[in-house]
Amino acid sequence: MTIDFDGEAICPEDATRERIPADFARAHQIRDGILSLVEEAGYDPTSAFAIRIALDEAISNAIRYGCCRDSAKHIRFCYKVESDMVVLEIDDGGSGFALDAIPDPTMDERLECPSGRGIFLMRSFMTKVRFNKCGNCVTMLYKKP
Amino acid sequence: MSSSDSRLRIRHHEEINIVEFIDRNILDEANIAQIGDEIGNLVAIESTPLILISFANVDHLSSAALGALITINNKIKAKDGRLRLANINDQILEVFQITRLDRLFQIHETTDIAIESFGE
Repeated sequence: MTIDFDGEAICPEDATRERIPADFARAHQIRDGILSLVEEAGYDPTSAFAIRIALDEAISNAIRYGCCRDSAKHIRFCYKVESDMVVLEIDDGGSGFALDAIPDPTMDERLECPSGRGIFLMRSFMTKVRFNKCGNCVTMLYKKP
Repeated sequence: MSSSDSRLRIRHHEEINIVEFIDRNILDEANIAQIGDEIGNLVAIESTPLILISFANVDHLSSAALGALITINNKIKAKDGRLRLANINDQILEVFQITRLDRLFQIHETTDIAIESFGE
């Protein structure tokens, strides 16, 4: 599987694709299915924890911000779990956001701010994370250590 | 607080309120909001809240859960109270460390050590 993170967001042709209503319960079913594949592929609990954190944050951002909690809207999943890497893509079809405008939540003056850690956690726990230009589609890569 | 649909178990050691989560995954938005409200109510009724939150049963958390904890901490600080966290497993501790929230919160290995720390 070849992923070019320097080009456009690429999910492999043979990846699983699903389009679901922007609903946490349905999204968590997809998440749990992906985590089952991760476990079956032999990833250890530390890796599974990392992938789950990133998935949960991406789902939360897609539903809360991309779809404004409107379950009439949809999000698209594209994912592939291989023995040595996992690729996850979530597209919320929303208006996106300016990635550069997201402040570093670890700055002293931001520590007491309750929000703004989701993307930071995704980047911390995944090997690579990239957003498309308008910010409504995130592609994440996890390479087995 | 003692209602059957509470997301928390709360017990007391002298003036300290010891809070434990019933859910192993502190992720679901509705759960987080309820947990925030329940602990917020606890803070509201205490003149100088001393709150110890145990993560003994927790396997996962989210940025929204961290946000709820920060809000609780801010409320406790506003009343000159003290918050301690305890029994955090290694994976969740890593979340606190990489977000540098281990600097904001006082985190202790066990409930007993955290209880002792209120006297410091």
